[in-house]
Formats: sequence, C-alpha cells, structure tokens
Amino acid sequence: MSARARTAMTAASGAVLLVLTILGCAGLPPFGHYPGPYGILLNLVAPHERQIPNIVTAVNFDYRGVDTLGEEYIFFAAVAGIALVLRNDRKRTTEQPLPPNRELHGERRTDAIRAFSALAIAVTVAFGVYLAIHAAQTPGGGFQGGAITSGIGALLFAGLGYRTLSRLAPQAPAEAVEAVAAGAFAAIGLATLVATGAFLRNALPLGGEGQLFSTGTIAVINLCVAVEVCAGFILLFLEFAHETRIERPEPENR
Amino acid sequence: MIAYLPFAVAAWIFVIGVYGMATSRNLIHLILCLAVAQSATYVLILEVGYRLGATAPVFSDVLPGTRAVDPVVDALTLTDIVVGATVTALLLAFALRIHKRRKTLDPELLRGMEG
Repeated sequence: MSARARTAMTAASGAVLLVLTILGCAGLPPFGHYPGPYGILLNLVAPHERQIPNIVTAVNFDYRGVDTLGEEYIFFAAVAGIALVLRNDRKRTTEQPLPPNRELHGERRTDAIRAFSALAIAVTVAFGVYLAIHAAQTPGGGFQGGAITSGIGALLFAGLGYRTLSRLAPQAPAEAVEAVAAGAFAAIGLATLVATGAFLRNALPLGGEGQLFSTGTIAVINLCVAVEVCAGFILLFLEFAHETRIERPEPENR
Repeated sequence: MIAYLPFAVAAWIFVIGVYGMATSRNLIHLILCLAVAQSATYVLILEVGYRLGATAPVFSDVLPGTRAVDPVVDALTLTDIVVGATVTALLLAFALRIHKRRKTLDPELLRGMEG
C-alpha cells in the first residue's frame, strides 16, 4: 500500500471512528458523576464484609476473582507465546553461541555501574515486596509488586550483564515457579469450590482489618499473583536479553 | 461542555497514538505508539469511574463511607495495564523476529507475507 493510500485510509476510518465516538459519548454522564451503584455498594460493604481497607484488591481477588484468574492466564499465555516465538527462531538461526565481539573486548562495566545496580536491586526488591504483601492495606497488590520486583531482571542485565542474569535467574526454575504460581491460583479456586460450593469464595478466616495476615483467600491469591507476575516478567527479560546479548569474553580472574 | 473536557484528554492521547502508528517507519516506534494509544483507555476508564470530590477506594486513613471513586473501574484499569504490557511484549518479540529474518524494521520494506 502506498503512503498516500494509507493516509487516505487512516483519515477515512478516523472520520468514521470520530462519528461513532461522539455518538457513543453523547449518553455519558458528565465527568465526576459516575452513576454505577455496584462500586458504591462495594465501598460501603466490603471493608466490613472482608475486613479489607483496599477495595480495589477486594474486587480483584475476591468479588471478581474469576476475571483476575482469566487476566492472569492472559499474562501466562503471552509469556509462553513470546518464549515460543523467540526460541523457535533461535533454534533456526542462532543455535551456536555468538562469537566473542572483539570490538567490545576492552569495554567493561565500571565498578560504579555495578555498585549502583546492586544498590538499585536492593531498593527495587524491598519496594516491590512491600507493595506486593500490603495489597490489603495500601494501594499495592500482587500485580504491581510482582512487576516492580521483576525489575531486578532488567537491572541485572543492564548493570551486570547477560551472564550474571542467566546465572542468578536461570530459566528452568523461573519457568517452574511461574507455572506453579499460576496453577496455585486455579487450585485455590477449585479448593474453595469443593469446600464451599462456590468458585473462589473466601473460605479462610478473615483476621483483623489492617493486619498483614488477614483477608483470607485474598492474601493467598495475591501472593500467587505476585510470584507469577514476577517470575513471568523475569522470564521475559531472560528471553529478550538472550536475543539481544553481546557475547563478551569470560572475565579473567582478578 | 467543560464537564466533558477530561474525556477529550483520553481522545487526544488515542489520536496521537494512532497518528504515530499510521505514519510510523519503524516497527519499534509503531509498537510504542500502540502502547500510547492504548494508554488512552486507562485514562478513559479512570475518568468514567471518577466522582467529584472523591478519594481513592482505600479506607486505611479515611473512614469507610467516605466518598470514594468506583473501585470496579480501578480494578479494570489494572487488568487493562497488564494486558497492555503483555501485548507490547508479544509485539516486540515479533519485531525482533522480523528484524532477524528480514534485516529491517521499516514497514514500508516489509512487503508480502512469508511462510
């Protein structure tokens, strides 16, 4: 398609979309006047019913837990898909390890870079784990905390190199951890189905509001999601890092 | 009119994302433009659930019963962000694969399908 034809097509479909958007927005309530009763009701009953201050977490892991299960498996399928696409290609084109890049021979990461990334990793882990385990009390949660903690994969790659990353976060255990955590979410659902007759009904003792170990199955599912998301993103970093790595000569002992 | 102005922000983010996609000459740039266009949906969903003068639906520091925004749309936004991140990652994997096989990331030069 020529550039002109594409511009014309974008303009035409954009005009159609504009009309549809205006028609669709015509019936919206004005900004700040959301009428939905469901959320208002949850804001009123959930703190007492589930002993949880963070209603978003309650929606995610309890009231609409089934949706989150689906969401988690979207993530799981995407990670598996990326691994499939990249590894299949890798087999065909780069079965052999890359030859050492001579131009980069003298280039080393300075001590400052390595020290900074080690420091950044410590801060990232502390913050990510804090967010993940305080899903019920603060605006945190398994998804956010897991994603932030997995940032250590990127930091390891950028600051310490591919070799360190693949040694400290080997692929096989990361895959196993991700699969077990994803499976545990579904297993909790099945267990609650057997125990209470409803899928993902909160069946564990709720504990006291605001305490670290409270909110029953919400806390357990949240932990599963945190581990799954963290392992999944680390796997992604591993795949992309493997794809874009530059083989450096083994560092000699100093 | 002013009551609908915040929704125009979401529309604007969407439009610049689509414009970038339509005129892109590099697949990485195109994927990031898609991420921009998609982030319009976060803004839109959060705006739909907003209630005037409301706080976040986390009743740690405020008493339950305080006027708060809709927690359901907040949870939806979280889902949206996760899906957006996975879509971006999957597309980047495709871009890497295309670059390896065709030695280009310019959509103009990627004509025809290849089995």
